Amino acid sequence: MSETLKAVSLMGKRKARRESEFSAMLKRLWGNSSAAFGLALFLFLVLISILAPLIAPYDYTEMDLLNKFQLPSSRHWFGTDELGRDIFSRILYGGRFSLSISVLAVGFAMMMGLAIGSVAGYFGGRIDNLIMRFLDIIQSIPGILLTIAISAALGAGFDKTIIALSISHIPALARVLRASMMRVRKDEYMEAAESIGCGKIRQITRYLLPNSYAPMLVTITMMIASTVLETAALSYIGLGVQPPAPEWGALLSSAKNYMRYYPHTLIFPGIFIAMTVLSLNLFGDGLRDALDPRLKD
Amino acid sequence: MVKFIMRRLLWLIPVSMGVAVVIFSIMYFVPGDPVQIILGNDATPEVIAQLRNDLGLDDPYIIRLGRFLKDVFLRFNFGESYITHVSITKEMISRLPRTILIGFVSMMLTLVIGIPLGITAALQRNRIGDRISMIIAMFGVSMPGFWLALMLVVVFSVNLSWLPPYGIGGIEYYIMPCMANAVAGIAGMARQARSSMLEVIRSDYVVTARAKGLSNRSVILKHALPNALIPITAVAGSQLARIFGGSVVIENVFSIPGVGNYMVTAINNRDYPIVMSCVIFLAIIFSFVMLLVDIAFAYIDPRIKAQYMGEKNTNRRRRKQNV
Repeated sequence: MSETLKAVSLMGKRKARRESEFSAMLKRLWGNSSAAFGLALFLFLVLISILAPLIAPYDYTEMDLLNKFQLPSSRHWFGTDELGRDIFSRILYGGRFSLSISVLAVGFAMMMGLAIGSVAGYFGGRIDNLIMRFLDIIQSIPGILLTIAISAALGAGFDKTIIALSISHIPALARVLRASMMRVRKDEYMEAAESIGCGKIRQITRYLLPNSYAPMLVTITMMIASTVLETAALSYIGLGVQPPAPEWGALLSSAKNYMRYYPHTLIFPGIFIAMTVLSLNLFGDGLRDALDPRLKD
Repeated sequence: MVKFIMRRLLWLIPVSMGVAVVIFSIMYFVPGDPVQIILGNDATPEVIAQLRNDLGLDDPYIIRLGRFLKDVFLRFNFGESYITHVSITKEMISRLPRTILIGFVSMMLTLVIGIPLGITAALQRNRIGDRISMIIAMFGVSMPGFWLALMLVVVFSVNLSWLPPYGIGGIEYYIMPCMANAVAGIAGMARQARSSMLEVIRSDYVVTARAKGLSNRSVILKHALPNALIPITAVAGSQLARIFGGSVVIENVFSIPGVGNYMVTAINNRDYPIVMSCVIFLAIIFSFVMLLVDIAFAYIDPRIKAQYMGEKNTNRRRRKQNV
């Protein structure tokens, strides 16, 4: 008897603590093994980059000219480069550049996208039209070309690279946000908010944004992945972060001169780039399925 | 349909102008004096002042912008290189065919391999073939294109010596660049095709088609496929942008004298007019190709055609998906 009562009261409790859409999404996400694997792999890569000074067996600038171009061995897991520097250590330190640049660039683009998308999505009409036509123009330049142009104008460097990478991503984020805001804007609670006298800023930040940011999450995840690739491409062609900084693209850029005889200097940085992008793509896929369970069977 | 094409063609004009203004403005803020780049460090002040005047560098921003736009759009003159003083327009035109060739072949590979692969995978969902091809596709979209290119060189040129590692010549010189540029596109396209086909297969009209006893083949080809192609076409645009951008880096890897390589060399020489011109030029060509893609897909999607029969303000919705 008491068992049943307990069960009933438990059920009541569960019903009272109504499951929010967000926690339902998290549950679906957690149940998706490849998404969980993607997240774990990405966090692992972030962790080893942060802990690089503790993990790395050598300093990333430490040269050893007697041991140039060593093949992978127990002393040098990934071998050594043209100056005898340990490639494993350089990749660990390089992750700090590659990952932080990508995350910060997308973070900055997200801020701008939030601002522009909110204005366009909330006000609509002529302002929206004007903003969208401008974004059309920006988007008719292939992203990496715009990034290259801005990066060439600003010059090489950590902060400048972040700005160059972020600008070409703003339109896509603004568009995604605007599209979902357009749907939410007509909901009744928005009308209610307006009728009780909420200001425009409060309407946007308190009601509109929390209800429409979700589709942006998927875009952001995938965007960080593609930004990792773009960061590498940028350093490779001589912009972005330059050697001696051990950014992954910069490692590849210097390794290509020796690829004829020492291809191992080329393989490992590429594998790390691919692993990072792969982890984010897996997580992004899972996130999309979790946000829109209709797509997954 | 003519109205649709005319509309898109006219829209191309403000877009190209806008692109030119945006890129010109970015380059206007380049730190460093172009005269210094042209003359080097040991020029007398008189010579510098003379050249500044000749190039019109002392004029305000808006006048220089106006002059640039007039040169580019009315005379099709992008100016000349700071360093070699060769006409940029001529140089770009002579290099363009190689860039177009790589872009075209890569795009064709993307469409011709990617879409059937994705659709076959969707039809065999969760079977071993689907699993394997999707895992490969996942790796395909995750690799940097230029790294793949370098690995191809290591394998096929250095180790096997089947293909030339760089330069131009016969067809064999273009095999690796096109492959390296297309792999991410093929993989991305296959993923998109699979997911949109899966969505379509579950829809009511496909169930109806099956229920009325149509053969599997005709259900797939006549009912599912045309509808699955529509979201795929939205992705074609972003793949095209990726291929256009990717060719810049790929040309650099294989030392192919195309527009992209021209630009990268110019960046390293700080020859900014070339960088500016190449970006504008490629962006305009890209917009034009996108226009062709849009028109081609308007034929696939009868809804777009129908919209243009009556209503205004149409391709907005399509473009929105293009993000």
